[in-house]
Amino acid sequence: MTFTTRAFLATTAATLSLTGAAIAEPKTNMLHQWHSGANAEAINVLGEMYTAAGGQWNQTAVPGHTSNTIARLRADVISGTPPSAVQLKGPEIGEWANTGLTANLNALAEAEGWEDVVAPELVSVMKPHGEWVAAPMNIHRIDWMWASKSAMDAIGSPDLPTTWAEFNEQAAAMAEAGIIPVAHGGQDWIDGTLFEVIVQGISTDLFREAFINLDLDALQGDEMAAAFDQLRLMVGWMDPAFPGRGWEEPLNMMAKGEAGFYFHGDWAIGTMNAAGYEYGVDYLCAGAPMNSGQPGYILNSDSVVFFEQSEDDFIEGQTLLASTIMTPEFQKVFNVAKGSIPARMDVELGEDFNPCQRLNIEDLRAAADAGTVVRSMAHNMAVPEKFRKAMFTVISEFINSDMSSEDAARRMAESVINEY
Amino acid sequence: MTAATTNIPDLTRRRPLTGKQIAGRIALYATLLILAAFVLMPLAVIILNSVRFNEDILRESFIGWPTRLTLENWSVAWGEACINASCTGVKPYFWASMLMVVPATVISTALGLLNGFALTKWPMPFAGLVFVVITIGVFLPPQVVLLPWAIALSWLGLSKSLAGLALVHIIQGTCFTTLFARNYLINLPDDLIKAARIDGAGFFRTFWRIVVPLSPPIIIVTIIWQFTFIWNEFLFAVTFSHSDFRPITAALMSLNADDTGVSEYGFGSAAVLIAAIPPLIIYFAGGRYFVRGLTQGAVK
Repeated sequence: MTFTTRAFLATTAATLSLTGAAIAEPKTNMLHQWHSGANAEAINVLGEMYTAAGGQWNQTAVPGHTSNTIARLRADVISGTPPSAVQLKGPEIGEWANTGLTANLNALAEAEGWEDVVAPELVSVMKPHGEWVAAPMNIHRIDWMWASKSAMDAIGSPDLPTTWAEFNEQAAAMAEAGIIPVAHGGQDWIDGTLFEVIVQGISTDLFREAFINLDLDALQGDEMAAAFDQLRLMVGWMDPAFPGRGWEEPLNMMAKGEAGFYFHGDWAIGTMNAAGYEYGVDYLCAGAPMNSGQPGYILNSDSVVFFEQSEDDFIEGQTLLASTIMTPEFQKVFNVAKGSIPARMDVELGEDFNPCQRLNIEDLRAAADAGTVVRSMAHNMAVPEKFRKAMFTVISEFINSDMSSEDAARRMAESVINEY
Repeated sequence: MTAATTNIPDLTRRRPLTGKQIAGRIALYATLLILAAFVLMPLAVIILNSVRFNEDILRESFIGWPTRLTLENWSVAWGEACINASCTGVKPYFWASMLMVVPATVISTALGLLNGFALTKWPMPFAGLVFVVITIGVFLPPQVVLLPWAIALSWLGLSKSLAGLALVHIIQGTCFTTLFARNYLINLPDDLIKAARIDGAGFFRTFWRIVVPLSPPIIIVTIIWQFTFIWNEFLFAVTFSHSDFRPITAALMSLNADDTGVSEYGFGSAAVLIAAIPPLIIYFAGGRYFVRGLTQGAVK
């Protein structure tokens, strides 16, 4: 499908240029945050593929966080020159679609059959009002449990825990064996990531009510307090040096065997590959515990939003860029080093992908069938930034003090009300 | 103790130190060594990391001895690392810094010397007041002048350009260079200037033939000061330059991995050291003159 579109575009371009008529030449300027390392290299591959397909490639990298990109985007939109393609996530896509300035990619999505290959939970994000306005580049799974092989051996290598009760038993056994049971980094987004994993494990309904619908009863209910109880238990199993630590150091503690378990998203694979750790030798991976016994999945995804353009060159450039992003080739190249998986569920991962990435695809399919896929609150996929930050503050304060679980649950609700 | 001469200490011969003094010396040097080690520790860590494999840094720890050595970090940092999504290394940014710093240093030094001469050796009204006003610039925090500069640069059509950044540094730097030059030139004998005027030399000829040849010590001081300051400056560099072609200090920021990328400590460290080399060369080449030039005139 993609191939025909591209061939069609190329031949049309070729024929028209032969006739010497004034014809559109696909152009783009993509605004994104992947300014360094493997991510930047992957974006350069996208540029090469785009150029090979006959487009004129331009990019602007905005180092820093989403807020920097949004500031830049606002300035461009206000001055009447919205960029043709911008890297954005989750609710931001919907908010920009509300302005009516986004482009409509329905024709291309229809022609290439995106609806059938993109993960259903993502489709609703990419077409907030029934129109495709964005193309997804990847899927990151947030609710990963990484376990040290040597730590598992030290406690008699049982299977990885599937419920929180099992997890607590194994963690206690590790503490007995003199291993730090839980490795953890001490920054607000890392705290938030751990907590949303616990909430999903306690109940998917709780996650949806609290973190997607912002339901006040759910936010301050008994189940939320139970999630904080579990978090309190785990804080007791962390080493005292965690405050302020980044996410790579605890990952290293787990892979080295100083610590047993580590809960973090799958970009951890990128660092473990770079550090030369091997699956099955140094570390094991599984979805985080789920009390319901069903598979669970917390989804995070990077995507590119397209804004309406007035020049023919740029309109055509958008079609070509969206089409290039959605090719299985690019989806593979972009995700192999990042540790994520393609946003298309029909891509077969080759041998250069890590076993955890292959498990990721299986779990996503199983969770999609069980209806337990949720969008990540901690990674900007569920609620607007202000609510996310407000909840982060409560979670981090809970971890770094002796606040009671009931107080924490109540304050979750309060912090959300205060932001309304 | 009969002869009076014995009361005159013999300064040409060192007297042997007493035990107490030796102990004091040892304590003094030990303290100095510990303080020096403490200050140099971060530099040592960065130098070591620039020759370690990133894999080892990630596995072992950020602070550690290399188990095997590599020079690849240096070549990657110089020509291959991705900055702002174009994988060119720090090379273009290094030259961008040079392009901006050299003219800014030369021009601000020349202006400072000219000001110093006019304020001290040439009859001009309100010289004292003018000097005070110029020197206020030395004490203004850079954050205070950010916005005025942004507005001024957009009027001049120099926003987000190296030329605009160089202009900011020339004007801001002239406050410092004027201060240095004035304090040095105030000690030049007035008779020299008077003699030149009697011989019919005007302002510029006097400056060029009399003042400049007598000023190498202070010229070297200002050049070292300005070059180091402008090269290492970050706030203006980030604010007033375009992301595609900016000074190396501002470009280094984009070498950091994003939140969920792999940290590249190896070539990151090499890039930091590459950025630190030019001011170090300047300092080691002219450091002897630096202290001498600054203290000259202070002791009469």
